[in-house]
Amino acid sequence: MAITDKWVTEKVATGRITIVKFAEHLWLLDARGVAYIPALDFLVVSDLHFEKGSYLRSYGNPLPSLDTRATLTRLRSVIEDYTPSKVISLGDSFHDKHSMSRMTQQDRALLFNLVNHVPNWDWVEGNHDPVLPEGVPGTALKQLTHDRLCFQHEPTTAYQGDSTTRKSLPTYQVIGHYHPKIKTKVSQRRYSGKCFVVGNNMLMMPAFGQFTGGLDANEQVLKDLISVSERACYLMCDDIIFKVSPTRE
Amino acid sequence: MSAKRPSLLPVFRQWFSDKGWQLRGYQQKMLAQKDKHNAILLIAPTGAGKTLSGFLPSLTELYQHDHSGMHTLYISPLKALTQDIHRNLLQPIEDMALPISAETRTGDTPSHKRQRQRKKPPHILLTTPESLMLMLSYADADRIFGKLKRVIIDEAHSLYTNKRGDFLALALARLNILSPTLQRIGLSATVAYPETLAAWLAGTKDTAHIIKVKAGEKPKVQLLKSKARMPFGGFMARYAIDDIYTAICEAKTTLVFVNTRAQSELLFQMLWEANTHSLPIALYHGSLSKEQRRKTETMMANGMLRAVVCTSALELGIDWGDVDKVIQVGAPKGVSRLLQRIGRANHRLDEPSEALLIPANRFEALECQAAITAIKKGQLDGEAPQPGALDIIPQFILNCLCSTSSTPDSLYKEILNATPYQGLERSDFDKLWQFTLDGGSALNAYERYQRLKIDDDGRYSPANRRVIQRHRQNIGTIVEAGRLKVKRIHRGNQGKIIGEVEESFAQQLTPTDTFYFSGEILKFEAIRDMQLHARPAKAKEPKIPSYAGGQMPLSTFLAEGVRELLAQPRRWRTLPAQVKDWLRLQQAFSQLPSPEKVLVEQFPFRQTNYTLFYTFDGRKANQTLGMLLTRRMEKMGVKPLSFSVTDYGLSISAVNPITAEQLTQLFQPDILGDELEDWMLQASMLKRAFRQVAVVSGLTEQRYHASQKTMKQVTFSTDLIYDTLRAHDPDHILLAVARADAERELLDVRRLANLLIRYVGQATLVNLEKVSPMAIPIVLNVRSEQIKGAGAQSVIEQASLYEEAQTMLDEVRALLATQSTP
Repeated sequence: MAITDKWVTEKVATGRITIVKFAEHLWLLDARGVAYIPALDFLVVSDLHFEKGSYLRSYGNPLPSLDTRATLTRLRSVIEDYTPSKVISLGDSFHDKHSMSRMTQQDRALLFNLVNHVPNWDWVEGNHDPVLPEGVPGTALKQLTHDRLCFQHEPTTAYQGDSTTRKSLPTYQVIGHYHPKIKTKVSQRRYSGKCFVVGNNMLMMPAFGQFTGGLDANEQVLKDLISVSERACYLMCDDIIFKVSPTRE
Repeated sequence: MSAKRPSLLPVFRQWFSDKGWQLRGYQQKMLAQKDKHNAILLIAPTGAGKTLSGFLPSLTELYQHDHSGMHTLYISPLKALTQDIHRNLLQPIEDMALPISAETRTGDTPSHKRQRQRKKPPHILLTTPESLMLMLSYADADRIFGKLKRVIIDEAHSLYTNKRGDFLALALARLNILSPTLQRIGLSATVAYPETLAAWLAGTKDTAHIIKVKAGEKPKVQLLKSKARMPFGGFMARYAIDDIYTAICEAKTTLVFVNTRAQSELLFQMLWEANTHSLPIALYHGSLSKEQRRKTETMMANGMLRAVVCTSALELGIDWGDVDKVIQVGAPKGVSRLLQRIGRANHRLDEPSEALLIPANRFEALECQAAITAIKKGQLDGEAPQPGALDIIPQFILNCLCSTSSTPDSLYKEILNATPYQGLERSDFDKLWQFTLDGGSALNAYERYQRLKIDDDGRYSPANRRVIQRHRQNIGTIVEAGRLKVKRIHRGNQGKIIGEVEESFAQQLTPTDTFYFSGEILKFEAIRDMQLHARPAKAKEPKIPSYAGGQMPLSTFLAEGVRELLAQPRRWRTLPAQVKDWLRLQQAFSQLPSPEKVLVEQFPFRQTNYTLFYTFDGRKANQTLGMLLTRRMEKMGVKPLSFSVTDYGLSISAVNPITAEQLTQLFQPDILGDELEDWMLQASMLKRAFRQVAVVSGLTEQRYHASQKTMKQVTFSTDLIYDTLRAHDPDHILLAVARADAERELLDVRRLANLLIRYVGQATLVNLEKVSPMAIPIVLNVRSEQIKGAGAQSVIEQASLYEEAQTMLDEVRALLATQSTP
């Protein structure tokens, strides 16, 4: 942990960070797209989608394949600020199983260096990366459970499985996968961007990867997971994070 | 004398006399000179029968000599126009039983017909620039176009100063490679600079021979002097609805032009409410379905309609026969455009066309009057042509390679033959080539993937079929917002597609919202399978469709006219009394803008402070000024929120008001200093330019839209690509192209510099308690540019303040304190 009272106070005052309570913990939601839990010293990031640019290029799309560089550079600056004891990458970290073979030597070095400098780095698996590419440092996990908190890429819902597994439904889930976005209007101005969606029992992370799009928080599939009445959305726009007033969504 | 004069072939002479027509002087010239020039530009006012003149040489040639394959290609900027011209062309062919086949080919042409046209091309093919480019991408393009003798470009004036004109110039250059003896004929309405158009038409090796037809009678244009009260602001002209209806009743057939699609819907609705005689009045705009438009076109051609409310979709060339009056509702926006619209009435040269101008507010009355004065003096506005847009080059390169393999050297030479690209530097071409090849990023060293492959002779071709398909689906320069089809439901899920709306408009609707579309009020139900489902409803106050379609660029020329009019009160007598009153009110309440000074008004409006700069220097200069002023205001702590521009001025909204001293510091030439670069790169305007460039150059594709919603997770905004390139590959060619594009379309730094130098110390600040009479239409202008920065942040800060925040911050601090003490 590297953050100080003064640093947090200033970041909150300038809208760079907002604080929420979830799973009996205080969470710092950072406008750069990560969540930090001070009590546990965990930093959570989701949907990095490394090498998505080069993946699309292989389908004839002449995109610049600089996305991994950009994602890593942003991630590094976040990690330098928090120096957490654990980083949890919540799935879809690698866009496809050949991501590592397309990554440039430089980016690869940047990534390994970053992972090796954090005491614990957990790669939670996602639908894009069910298997951690070979040679990547860090721990591969299906999901990570800490007390009543469960970190996993996709949610477990009560409707899945039989009555025996239903009992084991985790109390609090932190998930990625959906790339939530939201639009709002404040004093005649429109704002839109990626967002965190926080409910009573579920916290949905925004996608961090440079070339990631999003799904509107008002799509039915998202509303089914966290109902509108219990949720709060935290919109990130122009380096600022703020809570979207439910009446303005 | 008469021996040398090309006499018309007997069969044609007979046809002309059957019609009661005579061969006109310029039609004769056209026939006489057809073999003497590689390019001919015919400039004639509307109604002169110039389209027929364009076809006459080909019709006679095809009658005299057998020709197998395509002989003449006709290119029109509008799909609808090809239909219309096709109808008019079939008439003489059928009447004279000429052995000539003529067909149309557009995006609407069914695929079996396309296949047939490809196998057995008609003698005359009528098409659009985009369809032509697509055909040029076929492997057998040389066979299709190899025997082509002539290409006719209709309405050339509407193309040569814009991107589509650049696009067409490249396609023409390609055609010339396939058929080197090809002759080009351009047909144009009267333009401000005929020589530039002639140069564009002919390509770089030549210039076109100009045949000019003397203008006919000057049109009779009147400004409406209504008894009803004319509003200060607003754009709907509701006040004049009875006057418009009376004018329609008095005429046989009227075209009512408006400036946007939304306006056309609303005006149509209001006219039907006033339609006590149940006159057949129809609606026509580009968002309506093809079937609907065809129906209106046919009814009009058969004389079944008394009036059509329409947008610029009906502006070009379509011959409606008996239109005897044109009504322009709203500001005319430009003299040439207005003349084009007026020319729709009375397609005969010897009688003046009649037109009535209906200003929607009092400011627009000034613009109407300035336009009338310009028409009387025979002045035209025209944009100067600019160097060709670079984002089309990668598209063109790929298009050529889809047809046949080639080398960068020969493609570069080909491109230089297109007039807009005669100054293209080899180094720029090479970067664009590299982009086409592999995306052009500096960091692609590790990648195996390339879009082009090279064969043993050093010739390049597309790497695979996917590249070709993807390219063909995305040909063109018009980047449109995502669109949804509108389905009008009558029962269950049954219904008919009646048109399209922009995706962004559809997204802001919630179930039970109502809106005008296709002349009725519809109630929104849901978006299903990329269709907007809606049911007819009986609501009174619908949401008006605010789809961006049909927004019109304004001409800078008229702004100058309005400034002069304001400065000469003795010319006001031609204005309606209400407008004079309004000017006097402005004089009393604030000041009138004068030619020697820049008037700056400041007043509170909608909870913010508005500053209005009356520059009269055109929207591009105002746009640039807006960007620079807001940046400086931000440094001063004025916290600007947004700005919007018109041709007349610039309005900035901010959290704080400015002082007279601040104004002096603001209005200085030094704001054009070093910071300009930096400012530009951050402007959202540049991101917008990049969005277009990304699509046109093939970086991303717009057809993604049409697939399912979940695609949103797959696609992502081009803003992200822009940010990535700026941070990690700032020399990327597309950034430079986007910058050039923004300068071409949106900015006018030179004009702004002149303005700033001219007006140093000449800005007058007038503080007002509320919005001035003259400012009303300007502040009501909806399209504004939002500013990132202090103003925006202060609003966010207000919005994000919530009670628990402070308590939780205290808790975090307490937590940090316990953890840092070991």
